[in-house]
Amino acid sequence: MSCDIKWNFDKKLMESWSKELLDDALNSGSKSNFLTSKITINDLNFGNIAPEVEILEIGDIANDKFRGIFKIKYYGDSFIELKTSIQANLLNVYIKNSKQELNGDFTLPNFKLAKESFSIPLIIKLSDIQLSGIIIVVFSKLKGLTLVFKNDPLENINVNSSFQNVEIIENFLQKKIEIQIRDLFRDVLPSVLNKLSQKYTTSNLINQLYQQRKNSEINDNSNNGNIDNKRILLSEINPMEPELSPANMLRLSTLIKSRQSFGLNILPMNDVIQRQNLHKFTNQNEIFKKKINISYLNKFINNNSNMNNILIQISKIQSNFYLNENKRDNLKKRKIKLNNKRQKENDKMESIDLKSNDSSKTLIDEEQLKSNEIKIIQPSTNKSHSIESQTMDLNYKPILHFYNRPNSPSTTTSTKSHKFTNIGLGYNWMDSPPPPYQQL
Amino acid sequence: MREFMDSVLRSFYKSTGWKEDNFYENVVSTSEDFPIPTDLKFNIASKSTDYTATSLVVSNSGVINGSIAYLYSSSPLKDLLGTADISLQEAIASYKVIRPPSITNGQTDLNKEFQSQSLYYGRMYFPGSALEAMVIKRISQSSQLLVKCVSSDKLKNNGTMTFYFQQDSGRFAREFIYSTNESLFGLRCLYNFSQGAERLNTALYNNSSLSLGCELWYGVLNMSPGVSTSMRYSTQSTATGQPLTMTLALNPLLGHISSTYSVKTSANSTFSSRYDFNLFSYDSDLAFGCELWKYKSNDISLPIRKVNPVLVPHSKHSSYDQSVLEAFESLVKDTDFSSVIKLSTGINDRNLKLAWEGKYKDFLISSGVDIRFKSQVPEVQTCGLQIQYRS
Repeated sequence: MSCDIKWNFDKKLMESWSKELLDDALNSGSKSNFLTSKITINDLNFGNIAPEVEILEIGDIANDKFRGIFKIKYYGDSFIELKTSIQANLLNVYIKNSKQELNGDFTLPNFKLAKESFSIPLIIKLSDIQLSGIIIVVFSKLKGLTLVFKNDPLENINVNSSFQNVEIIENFLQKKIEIQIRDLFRDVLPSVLNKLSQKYTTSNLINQLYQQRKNSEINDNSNNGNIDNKRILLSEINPMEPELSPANMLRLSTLIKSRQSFGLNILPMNDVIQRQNLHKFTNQNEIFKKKINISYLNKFINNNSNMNNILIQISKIQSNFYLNENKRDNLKKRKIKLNNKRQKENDKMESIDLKSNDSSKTLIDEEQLKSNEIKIIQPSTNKSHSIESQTMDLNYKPILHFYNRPNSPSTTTSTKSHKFTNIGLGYNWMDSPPPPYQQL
Repeated sequence: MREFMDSVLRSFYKSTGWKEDNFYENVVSTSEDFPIPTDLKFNIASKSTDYTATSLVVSNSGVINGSIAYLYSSSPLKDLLGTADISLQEAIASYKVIRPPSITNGQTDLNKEFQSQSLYYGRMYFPGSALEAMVIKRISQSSQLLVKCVSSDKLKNNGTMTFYFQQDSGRFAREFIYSTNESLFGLRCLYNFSQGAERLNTALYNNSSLSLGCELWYGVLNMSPGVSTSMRYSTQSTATGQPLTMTLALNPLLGHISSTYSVKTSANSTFSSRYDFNLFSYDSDLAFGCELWKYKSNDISLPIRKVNPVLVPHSKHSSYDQSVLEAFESLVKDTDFSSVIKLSTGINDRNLKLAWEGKYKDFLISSGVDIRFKSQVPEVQTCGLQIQYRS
């Protein structure tokens, strides 16, 4: 399928915008000692001929992700004219390079007038750009836009410079610029586009929520004319809460460690969804998608009395989480009596044994596990601002287990914590890094 | 302020009778721009014996780094004084009075037997542990070998070595240079003309010299050539004893001409100017610099001389002339100075370089600032402070 591209857009605007962009890109980073001034763009013209785009394949299409393969052809009449000045004295370039590399001039001979700088202005015009290539475009809300050229798209480029009558320099420039442009398509362009796209898509859901809240607030208050522009962050409400609480980190590492085993039978991970099974979870729990929305956050911030309700809602979602692939029965909840002092403090807390589903033989003695169990604590009404709802015994030291283990879907063990996801305010699954993309 | 290593090198050359001024490298050193320190630097050095010395440098330019240096010389470094005893004229690079080379025909040197002297110097930088080393070996009365190298695993080929083979016969001095960095070859030579008065032997005392030199460079791997040629005329006014130096340098490849004129107007002031012009691009530049020395005490006796209106025939230079020249020199040498202010400015660069160097208690202090006036608001390009103590 091929597309018809309308090439009659407002070119003036586009040209000034891309001039700025190119100016930044060309002069950013460390300047080569070969150049004696910055590169300016004299002229930029997109021409009148549109590129031809053909859709070869669309692999994946959804609200928040897209993957497609395109064929692009461009035989247009656009051109670009650059102006800079170059160092004509190669010895000067040599000295500057050596000084940078050697971090001093100890071994450099003391050059006299032979090192004198001599700069020559250079104007380069790039025209007759002919491109033909296959592009793979991958877009996801989390990662932004990734663009890869499957082949070297540059077919032809015409370089005109102010050294036109000197054939050696002309050829040299042609070669250098061709290499540079190939480099541009291979490395620079994909990385620039990726950076740019990340401005518009967001990997941080919370920020977007706040933005929407702010907008809605402006709409709400527009009648009163009283606009509160102040942003409220979660960390302001509860400054003690780190982004990913250490208790959760420890919990994750415990789970990972429990998998570092030669045993054929391992403990199932109850309150954990592994990434490969995530889509099933999200399909099953439609409630999750519906319930967490902006109005929640609004209420959460504006009205403290609603907070408990919200926290209970969240904990309900979390308890839904315990549903495993095979088992959808209710979880066993058990009260623990460790000692009297603790009980008084935690009399309202409920906890769940990590080992609740395990029935196979293990080398771990029951006593140790019991004393080191992980507790999920329901949010207490007394601590209305505390989001930290999970505690854990820090002294848990897993021993090396050797026990029978049934065939598990996840046979690969990994020490990376992002393989495990969970839901909660402290560790939003949207924030966790996505799995690496398929090799293209 | 001279770096510790520069002072050591000068002292070594002095003790072995090597004239470094007679090389093309120093042909325009009289009018050369002074460097501005770029960081905060503290240097402690000590001469443990006449043959060995140690130096420790700690500097801060955003990050703290430093170096330790050790050296051994087979010739006693008697001229290397501590900062408490050294005079400011010795410690600070200033106007270089060019002496005509003593052209010997190998007669006077026979009395003094040649001894092969050498200097070994090593310096370790931290962090990064780059190592630099230098070896100087006198081969004969008129030649020496100098090897400089830098070793660090961060560098290409893990380091660089540069070899200098220097020959100096008084009238003619030449150097062969090879650097492993891009395989650079170099040849430098300097020829001193014999003057009319000297040739005819009519002058009792002659203190002017005319030298012509050139340098040739070629980097084999990066194909970068370089050529320049220079002429230097240096003399002393017979009336007042003030030394002056003129140089004219040309780079024929790039069409660059540079002329300088420096004069030590009095015991405590030096003025220098430089004019650059490019034949191909018509670029030109005028730069100006001066040095003002401050006396330690107020009672100074300048050499006030009455000029005899009677013209003396050219051939009859009297010993009186010699005494004037020597009086000026000894005045410069013996006056106690407390500090020096150096100024330099250029039209193209539109900058003002200002440096203050002096002695505070037993410490040598050097500070400077480089201000650029290119935009509306003057901006400080570099500034720094160096403190040196050695015993």
